[in-house]
Amino acid sequence: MKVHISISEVPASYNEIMDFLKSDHAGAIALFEGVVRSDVLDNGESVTHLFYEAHVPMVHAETSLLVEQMRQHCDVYAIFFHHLLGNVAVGQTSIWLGIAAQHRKEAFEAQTWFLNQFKQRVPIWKKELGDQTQQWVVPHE
Amino acid sequence: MVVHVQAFGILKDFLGSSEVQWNLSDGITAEGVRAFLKKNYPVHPGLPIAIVRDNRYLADDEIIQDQDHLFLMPPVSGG
Repeated sequence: MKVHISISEVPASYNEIMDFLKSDHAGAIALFEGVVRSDVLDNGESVTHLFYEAHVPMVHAETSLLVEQMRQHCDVYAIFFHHLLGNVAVGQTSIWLGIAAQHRKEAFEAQTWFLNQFKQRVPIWKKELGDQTQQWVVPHE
Repeated sequence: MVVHVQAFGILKDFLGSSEVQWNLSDGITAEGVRAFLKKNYPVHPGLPIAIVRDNRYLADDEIIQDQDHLFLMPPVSGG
């Protein structure tokens, strides 16, 4: 399986992702983009940006572990994962997850499995920023 | 003994800084570090906190060493 894992302040490009994922055997490529949306802060203010920070070595370690576990669940040819760091404005993409597989069923299943695990395990944190206030997002367990 | 601590996410707000140094008792465990944090800073008692050393999550009973670099992590929220 081809694997690309990266995290930086530079967005991924569509061409970069597709060049990595495409192959003669992959009949399905599922590309997910997580886009920053304008939620409402506790004080009623609208979110304008999200700020992301991470423990980068652990992001690579945990994501690599997820990929290894995904191999046992899903039959896929390639995975491209990229997450942004720093400020990301509403409407901009902050995460890209591309999966290449023989058929769409495997690609979609792998994508859903990976994203669900990612949201629970990979050490990235986000803060919601408004014009006047900001607050960390803390998932309820 | 002295340990070097780096916090992430909302824990930085509780610590007032992203990096601090703590004087801790010899033989303290990861769970002890968690208790120290919650006793000395206004951290919500129910907030789960993971502790990482050398790019590995520590079990509750693992012993902290002098001059260790620890990373304190609240629940993740990427994506």
